Amino acid sequence: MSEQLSLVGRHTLGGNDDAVANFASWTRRDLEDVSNEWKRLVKAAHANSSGAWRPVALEPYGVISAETLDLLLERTAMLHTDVAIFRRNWNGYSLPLDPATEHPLSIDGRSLGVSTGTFHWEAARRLLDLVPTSAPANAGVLLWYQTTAAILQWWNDYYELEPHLARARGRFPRDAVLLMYDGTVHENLAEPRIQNVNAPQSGDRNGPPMPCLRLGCPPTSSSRPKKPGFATPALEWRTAQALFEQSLKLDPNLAEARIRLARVLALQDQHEAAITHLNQVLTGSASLPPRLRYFSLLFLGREQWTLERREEAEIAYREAAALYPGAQSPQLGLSQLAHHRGDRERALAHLAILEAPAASDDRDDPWWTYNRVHVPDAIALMTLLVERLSK
Amino acid sequence: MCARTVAWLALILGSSTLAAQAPTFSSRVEAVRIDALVTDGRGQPILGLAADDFEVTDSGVLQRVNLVVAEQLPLKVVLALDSSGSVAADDAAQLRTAGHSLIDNLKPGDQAALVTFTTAVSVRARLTSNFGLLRDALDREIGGIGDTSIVDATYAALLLAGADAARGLLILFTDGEDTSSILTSTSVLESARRADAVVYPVVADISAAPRFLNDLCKATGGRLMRVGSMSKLREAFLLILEEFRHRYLLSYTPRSVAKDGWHPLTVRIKNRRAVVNARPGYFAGS
Repeated sequence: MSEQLSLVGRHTLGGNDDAVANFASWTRRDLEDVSNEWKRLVKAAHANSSGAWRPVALEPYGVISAETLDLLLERTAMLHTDVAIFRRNWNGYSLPLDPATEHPLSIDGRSLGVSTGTFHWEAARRLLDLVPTSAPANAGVLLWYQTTAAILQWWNDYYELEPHLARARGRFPRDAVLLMYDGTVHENLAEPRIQNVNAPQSGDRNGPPMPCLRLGCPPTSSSRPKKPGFATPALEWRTAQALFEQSLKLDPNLAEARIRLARVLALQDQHEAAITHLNQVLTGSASLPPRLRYFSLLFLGREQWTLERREEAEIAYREAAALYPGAQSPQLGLSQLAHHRGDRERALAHLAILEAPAASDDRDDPWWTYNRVHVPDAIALMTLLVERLSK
Repeated sequence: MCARTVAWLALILGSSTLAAQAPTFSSRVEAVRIDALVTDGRGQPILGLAADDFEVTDSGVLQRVNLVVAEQLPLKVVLALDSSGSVAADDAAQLRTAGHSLIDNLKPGDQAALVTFTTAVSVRARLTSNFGLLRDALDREIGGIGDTSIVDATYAALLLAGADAARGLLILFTDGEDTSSILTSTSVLESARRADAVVYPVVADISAAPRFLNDLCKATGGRLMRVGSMSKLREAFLLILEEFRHRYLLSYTPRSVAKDGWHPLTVRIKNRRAVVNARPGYFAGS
C-alpha cells in the first residue's frame, strides 16, 4: 500500500507518467491485495459502534483526517483510471495478462474472437465504495462515475459499462445523468452492431453475453454483478425508453435524454410523440449545444419525412445542414426530398459532400458518434474531474 | 425517375445500329422502361426474344411495348463496396481484384462509378468512361475502419446510376448488416422504386442476407448473389455483368393508367415457360 501511495503522490492526474508505467506492471493479485488493505484501513477508521471517525495513521502522511482519507481514495482511484485509459489498445489492454477477464470481441457486428479486460476498473470502484455517501467527497465520486461511464461509452465497452453503471446507480439512484447513460446503453444494445454478433431468442432477457465492441472489456467475476446479456431490440428499446423517462422526471431539462427518448420512440413507430419531444428540445433552451440541436433537427427531419410532411422535413434538414455544413446526414435527407420531387440534379448536388475524403475534418458528422458520445463529452468531464481533484 | 421524357430513348433508337427497330417517339412523351431478366427453369438466360413475346401490364392494363436491344446500350455501372471495420485487409485485396476485373470487362461507351462506405459514404469516382481513373480510385485504401452504412450508400449509388441514355446497374458488396445509416430502409426502398437502376447485391460471409437487400432486389428486379469465399468475388462480379448484358430493356408509353402514384407492373412471356425478373412496379409523380 505504501508503494501504491508513493505512486499516487508522484502521479500527475490525467497524465501518462512514470507512476502509470509502474502501476501498469502490477498483477491482478497485487491489485486485489492492496484493495483489501484499503478496506481494512477504512474499517479501522470507522471501527467504533457509532461509525464516527477514529483517526488513523498512514505513511507517509501520519495521522490523517477523514477528508484526507477520502481524497486519497479518490486520487488512488484516478491512478487506476489513468492506467486503464493509457494502457488501452484496439483489442484490450496492454497490461499483465488476466485470463479471468476474457470476453468476446466484435467489430461492426462481426465476432473477432476473444479479448481481455482489466481489474483496474473494479479496483477503482472498490476504493470509491469506501468513501461514505455522506462525505463531501461523494460529489467527486458521482463525477468520477459520470466521467468514466462516458469514457466506456466512447469505447463502446458494454461489457464493462453494464456493471459500472449498475454500481453507479446503486450509489446514486436519483441521478438523472446516470439514468440517461444507462438508457443509452440499452438504446445501443438494440442496434444491429450488437444484435448481429449473436442474436438473442425472442423475449429472452438473459441472452448472449454482451460483446465488447472494438476494444477489450472485462469479464464476469465473482465480485461483479451478474450480467444480464442483451435482449431483443423491442425489449431493449422499451428498457431504454423507461430509463430516459425516469431521467426526465428527475431533470426535465436534460435535453440529451429527451432527444434519445425521441429516437427510441421513433424506432417503436411512435413518430408523433417523437416529434413532440424534439420540438420541446428545440424550443426549450436558447443555449442548446450545437451537437444536441443538430441531433434534434436531424431526427425531426427524418420523422417529418416518415409522416410525409416534406416541407417540415426540408426545414429541419436545412437547419441541421447549416449547423454542420460538412455532415453527410442532412444532405442525404435533402437529396431524398429533391429526388422525391423529381429534381434529380438537385438531389445529386446535395451529394457533392460525399466526394470529399471521409477522414477530412470538413466532413465531421456528429451522427457518426451518436452512439458513443454524450454531451458534455468524456474529455470535458475528465477535465472537470482532474481540476476537482487537483485542488 | 421511372417515368421520364424519352429524349434518351429517341437518341438511342435513332442511332444507326438500332434504326431498323426504332419506333417513332415524341421527345416529350413520358415513357416507362423495364429492365427484365428472362431465364429458363435452370436459371439460364433465354436469348433472342422479340417485343411480341412480352406481355406487360401497368396497373392491370395491358401495354404495347417496344424492345430495345439492351446488349447494345451503354451501361452505367456503380460499384458500391463495403469498406467497414469488418472487412479485413485480405478481403479488401479481393475487392480490388474483383473491381479491376469488372472494369476490364466494360465496353467502350460504358461508364462506371465507385462508391465506398463505412459509417461515411464516399464517392471515390463519379460516373466516368475514364477507366484509368476508376482503377486509381480502386487502388486507394479500402477497408478496415468504421461501421456499415449500407442504406445510405445504396441511396447515393442509386442516384449516381440513374439512367438517362444508358442502363443503370448497381453492384453492392457487403459482408454484414447496416449498422449506421441515417436514412431509413423504407425510404430508400421508395427511392429505389423511383430509380431505373437494377441492384445486384453481393453478400459474403453472413448466414442470412439482410432483409433490406432482399427487398432491394425485389424492388429493382435485381438478384442477390452470395459468395462463400471472398476469392469468388471476381467471378460473381463478372457473372453479374454478363447476366445484365443479357437482360431485355422494354419500354412503353403508359396508356389508360393514372399519372401519379404507385404503378404495379407484371411482365410475362407469352406461350413459353420462363421466369421473368423485373421490378414489380414504379412510382410516378410525387
